[in-house]
Amino acid sequence: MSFWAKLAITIEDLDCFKRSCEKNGIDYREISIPAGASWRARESNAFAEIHDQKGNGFGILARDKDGKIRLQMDTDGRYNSIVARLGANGGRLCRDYTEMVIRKEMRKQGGMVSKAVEQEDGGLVLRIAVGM
Amino acid sequence: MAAEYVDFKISPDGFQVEVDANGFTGGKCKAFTKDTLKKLGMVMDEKKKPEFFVTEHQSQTLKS
Repeated sequence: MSFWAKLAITIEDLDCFKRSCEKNGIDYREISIPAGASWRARESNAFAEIHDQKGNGFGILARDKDGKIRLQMDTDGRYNSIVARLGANGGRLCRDYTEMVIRKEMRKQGGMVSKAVEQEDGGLVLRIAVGM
Repeated sequence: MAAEYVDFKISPDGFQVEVDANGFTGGKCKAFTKDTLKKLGMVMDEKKKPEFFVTEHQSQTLKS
């Protein structure tokens, strides 16, 4: 069977996310919220911070109530060097994360990347061939 | 037999992916991509192509 599908990506594979951080010059630091921290800080469920090695940008990783991980950061490139350097919503950092997850999971199924084409808009097309 | 491949089109910010599976007949395509799609996130939309409804047997009959 063949099909077409559209997906909204959620960050689940922290190993791939850490590798994407390393590749893009971002420090990944796990944090714990102290018991005496403010209600707002405790409610955030933050468990890691990311810091730009090449600027003042930073963001946090937090878990939703349903366990999903979300990346939060200032979206204005004037105040966040991660956005200025890598693009909106984490840009290249998240694109590389998604690419790493696809390569990793497809390899487990016996698939191999036969072609990777950068798009003009900054996107990426990966072609996975079966049983190469 | 047509080449079996899957194209993943990743958006510039990495938060959307379009998956386009081609050349598969039978149930192989779902088995091949199921775990990867689950790991990536939530399927927002899905469309089955005509080949989706063709079984291996039908495919061979049509070719002969």
